[in-house]
Amino acid sequence: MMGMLRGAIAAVFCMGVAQASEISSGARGHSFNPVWSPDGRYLAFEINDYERTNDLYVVEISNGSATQVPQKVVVPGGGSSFSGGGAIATGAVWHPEGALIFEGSTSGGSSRLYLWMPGRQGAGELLTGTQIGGDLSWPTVSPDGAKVMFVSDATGGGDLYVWDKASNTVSQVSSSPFAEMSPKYSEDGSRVTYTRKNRGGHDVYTLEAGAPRPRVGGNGDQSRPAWHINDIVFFSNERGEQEWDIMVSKGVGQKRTVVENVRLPHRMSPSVTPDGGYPDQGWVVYGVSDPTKSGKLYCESLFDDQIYEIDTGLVAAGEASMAYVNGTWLLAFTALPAKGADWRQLHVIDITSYFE
Amino acid sequence: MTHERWMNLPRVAIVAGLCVAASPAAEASAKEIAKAEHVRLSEEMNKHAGKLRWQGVERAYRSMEPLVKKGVVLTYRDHYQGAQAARELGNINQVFNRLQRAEAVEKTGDVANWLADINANYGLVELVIPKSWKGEVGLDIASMPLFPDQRSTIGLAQGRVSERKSYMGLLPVGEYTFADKSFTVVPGGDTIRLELGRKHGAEVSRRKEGERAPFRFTYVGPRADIGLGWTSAADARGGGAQPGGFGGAGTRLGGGLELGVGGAWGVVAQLGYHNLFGNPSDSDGALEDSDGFKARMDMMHMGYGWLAASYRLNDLWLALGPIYSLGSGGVTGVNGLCVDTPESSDCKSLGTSSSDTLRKSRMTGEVRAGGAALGASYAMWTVGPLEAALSLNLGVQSDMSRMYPWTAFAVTLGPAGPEDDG
Repeated sequence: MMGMLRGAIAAVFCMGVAQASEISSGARGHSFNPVWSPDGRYLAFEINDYERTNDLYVVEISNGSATQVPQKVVVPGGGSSFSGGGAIATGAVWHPEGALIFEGSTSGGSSRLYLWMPGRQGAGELLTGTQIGGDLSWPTVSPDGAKVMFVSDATGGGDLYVWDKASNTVSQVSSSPFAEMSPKYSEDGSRVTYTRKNRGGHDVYTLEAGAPRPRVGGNGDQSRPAWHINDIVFFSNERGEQEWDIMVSKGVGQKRTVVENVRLPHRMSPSVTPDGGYPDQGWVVYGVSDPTKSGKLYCESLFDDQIYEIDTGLVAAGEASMAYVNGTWLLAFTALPAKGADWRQLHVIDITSYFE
Repeated sequence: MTHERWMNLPRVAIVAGLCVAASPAAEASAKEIAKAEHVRLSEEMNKHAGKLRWQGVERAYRSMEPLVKKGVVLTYRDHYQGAQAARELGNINQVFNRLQRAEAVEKTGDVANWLADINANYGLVELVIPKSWKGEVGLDIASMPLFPDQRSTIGLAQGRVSERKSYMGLLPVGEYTFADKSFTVVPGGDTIRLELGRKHGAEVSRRKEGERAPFRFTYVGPRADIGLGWTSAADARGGGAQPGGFGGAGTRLGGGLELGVGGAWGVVAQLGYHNLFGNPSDSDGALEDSDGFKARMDMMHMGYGWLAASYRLNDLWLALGPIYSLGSGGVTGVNGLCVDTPESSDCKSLGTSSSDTLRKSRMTGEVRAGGAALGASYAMWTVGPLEAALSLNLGVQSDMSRMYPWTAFAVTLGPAGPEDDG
């Protein structure tokens, strides 16, 4: 089935070629890392021209289509009216108040966390250098918006820090000589999963009641974990450096392969069912590395063997991200419009019918 | 000798005339220097902005602002980068002001959007804390906003309030508490005004957009001067039964009020006392007791009233305005014309006294003199709620027959001036 090794025969529901709506900014570069706002109204994504810029764009989505040309989010000093550009803006996450938090840096500058909101003028630095030094990366926002956790390389190999919105204070929450990365809050905000570098790769950890606990390790990288209720879904390449699988961990030391040979997104965690949609089921959406199926995306249950195959009619589909908005399932992803096309473009599909 | 001092007047006039003649050239040169400084500061500002060194941008912008008075026109870019720096440094009021200045130079969508953004997310407030307020007062927000510029603005307002200074400016939209009084800041241009009363608690009012703010003095306080001075009186014009020129040292004491009327401007109203005591003399030298004449000291005692416009330039206080004095004086010796030519028709009223008698005659009478006085003070110390300054006061008054120029060095106590804009 689909060129994937599976423990059981899966039930695959093929729905024919879906009509994806292409969202083009007109900029040169590959589009990737789409991130839905919590209300599904906005989609943030990145465009990288593989030269010196990685820009962040935001577009308003209505009925599965863009309402306007995507708006570039300008890093202060990195493309304003009076600067030469050369900026990096990446790793966007949405705050429940509707703001976008992302890593930004100008040419040769430190990576800092910035804040921007649709309709508001310019991005501003979330935290000052006095509050926390070093390069800041991997922001994640608690579901109530009260805390933002991130990585700073000011200490250790990169430790976790948390910013408390009410008090405007930053405190260190992990301290190790190893690099910590990609923290993600659980749906109730009480726990955080993240990865810690070991000698050969990365292991998945959790932070519960302020204490770091190893969750699951293995050969290679156990990378970019995300919560689904109490489970942690992550990418793993323990079978080989270029062979990426999606795994799920239901407890300490436990892990199970959900699917093998997926197309590893540029930076995203596995896209699991958003909070509020099918909480008892849980789905993960992905593209595959099999070139014969590169135009297809798969939406797979974390609990049984159901798989929905979504034929995008495009090439090299991946970077999938789901949103559940007012009873509508939307899927954002990037793909080449045709074989030999220069740049991956952002697309959106309404996949509600797949679940009916 | 007073007469000799006034003989120097032509020389002073020549120097002043040369200064006036040279001033256009000097002005042009100053303007060129200011323009060159502007170019230098613009380059410095760009360099800092390119490296996101906002303190440097702010410093450059603030250095540019005084150049405007020297004829330099700041550009759109100057104001825009000044606004960027103010935003990064957390002063939304300055952001707003600088954007308005940028828009006055050039209308762009960028600035229009930014101003619209501020108007949509901020509201105007006036949190008024009288200088006499002694109690504690705090400003709290129900939910701290997410955006750093909004948090900084709240921090700025909280800082001023905690120092018992009034805060007039923008606050992010939200629910607040000020001195136990809750209020809501809403976008849309209305101004929320909370003024602490004499009794604890604040009075809340709302002023519609476009409605003029009621006038209020920006600062009020007593102003007192105590000093030593020198006063001289020129020889009376036209002769007659008038004393000759005289002068002497004395004290000058004054007390009154200073009221701020907006910006750096204010009004000084003062009543005081001014005197002089001097040894009698004339063009032939000091007068001494002889032949039954007692050469009594020249003296003058005057009360004065001074009404002046004041201007506060940080620690430099300037005040200029009309002054009127009323008092009495006693001087030994009549005016020089009658001493030299007692038979002159202008001196008939003095009878047939000899020149020597006239030199030593005691003249007493009333003095009423009007004129102008200038005060230049430099604040040096804080004395409770007041500030103390060292002052140089200068004045010229006339009773229509003679001039009374005077100067005094004084210690001046005055109210702290207008609060800065943060």
